Amino acid sequence: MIEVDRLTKRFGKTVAVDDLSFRVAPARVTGFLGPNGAGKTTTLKVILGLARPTVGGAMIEGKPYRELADPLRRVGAVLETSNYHPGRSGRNHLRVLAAAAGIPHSRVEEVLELVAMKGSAKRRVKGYSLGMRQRLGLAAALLGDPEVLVLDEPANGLDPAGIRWLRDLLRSLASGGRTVFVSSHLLAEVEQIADDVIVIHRGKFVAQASTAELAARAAARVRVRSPQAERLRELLVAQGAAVEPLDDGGLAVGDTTAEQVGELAAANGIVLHELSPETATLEEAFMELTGGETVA
Amino acid sequence: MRLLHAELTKIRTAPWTTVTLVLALLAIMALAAAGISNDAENGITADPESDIIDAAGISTIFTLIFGILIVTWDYRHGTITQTFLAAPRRERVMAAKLVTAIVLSLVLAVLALTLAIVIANVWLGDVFHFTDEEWTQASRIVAGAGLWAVLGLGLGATLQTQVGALISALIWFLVVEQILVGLGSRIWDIGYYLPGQALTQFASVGAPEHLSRATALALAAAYALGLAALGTVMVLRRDV
Repeated sequence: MIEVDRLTKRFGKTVAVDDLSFRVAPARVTGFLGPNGAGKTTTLKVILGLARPTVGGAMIEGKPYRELADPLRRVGAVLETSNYHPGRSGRNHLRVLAAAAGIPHSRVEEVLELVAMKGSAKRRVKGYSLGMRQRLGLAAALLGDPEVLVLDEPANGLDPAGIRWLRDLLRSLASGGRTVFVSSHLLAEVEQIADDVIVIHRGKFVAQASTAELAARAAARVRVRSPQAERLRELLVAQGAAVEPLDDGGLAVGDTTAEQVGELAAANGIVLHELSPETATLEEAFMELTGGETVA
Repeated sequence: MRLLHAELTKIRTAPWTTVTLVLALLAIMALAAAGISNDAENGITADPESDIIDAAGISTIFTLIFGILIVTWDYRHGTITQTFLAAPRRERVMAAKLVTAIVLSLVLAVLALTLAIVIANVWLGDVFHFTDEEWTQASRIVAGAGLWAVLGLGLGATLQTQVGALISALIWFLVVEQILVGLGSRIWDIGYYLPGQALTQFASVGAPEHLSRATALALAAAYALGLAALGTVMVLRRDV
């Protein structure tokens, strides 16, 4: 469980995070979504005790990060800003962390196996691709077998197969009861990976819902074409539906369902040439919530 | 202990900067010892023992740099985030870095001095011989090297940028302090009370120019620990 409570973080006059509160539940993969510059990384840094909040704060399993005993065994994290000494091998990078956390070397080998990095572990990080760096970051996060995972843009640099692998890994971690919190500025990614989504925009809370619920929340519309379009429009408006004409002569009907439109047409003897519900994607939901500002 | 182990692992697993520093210092000391031995053989110097100790003073520059690096390489490579994720109580990280900096600097200074002594001994034979006073001088050089490392660590932690800290150290110790010392009594001799000068006067082979040894040591230690404390506060306060 991660709790963020009335968090505000200012850098000089810039407000990066503005009175933000939310909870991240265990046993689910929760996406943390917002355009670049929305305050995601700043929020994660406060959660992880790397940045001080101006007001409010964050707790992990009921405690601020800085007060956790053995933090790597409680929380695993990958930050975008996390970096590596270019001359150190992947394995040695993990060994430094293992030394700091009192974790045995055998566990280093286990996590290397888990992220499929065993083969390149003795190479210097300098020669790693972005995807390999992400895998190494995940290995570092998993080192202490923690209950809570906080990952900042972990899918960056992964190819489609890598993203699928990441999704399966995160799912299996969450199904084991862990709290998995994953930030992204890419909707498609979150849609693939997360069960729940927390959306922020300009440092402010926008929405929290399950991924499906959020997509459904965007005004779902029904697309309808009829030779008696004008008559149908009048009937629909009389029923309180929002009707917009489409370029091809069809109608886009909001605040209703396809069933209702079909029944209304049948009851009034109106011929329909097309009747199709349009499922909103997360993208559309997001546009709606943030007032049209696109993400990636 | 874990954090000490982690600091040592960092050095062991990315050793090239440290190895370069050590080899450079040892090469300089070997050359200096050979030069001094040669001079002694040809009667150019009458006191090769003092010359050797004097030459070993060069190790302080290396331990200063080492002190700066032990903090700033974590910042430079972005590994500081992971260091603080593993050990969110940053004062403990700083304590581990302080101990590592002091211990390794003392080892480095002893190594440099030992190499020079061995070379001079082999070259000059029994003629080369340290008196008790000279051993005391030598131990002051070694202790001074440790203090310079603490000063470097404090500077690195305060500025948190590697290049910034190295250049600031260079400008401060080699330019600013020299100018202020040069102004001498015109600015009430404050030059002699500056950190680099206090350390130099503590460890110098000849009689110190202005301060007593004890005052120089107290002042130098105060500067080193003060700067390390300031650096720790900066590390604790600043976001990474």
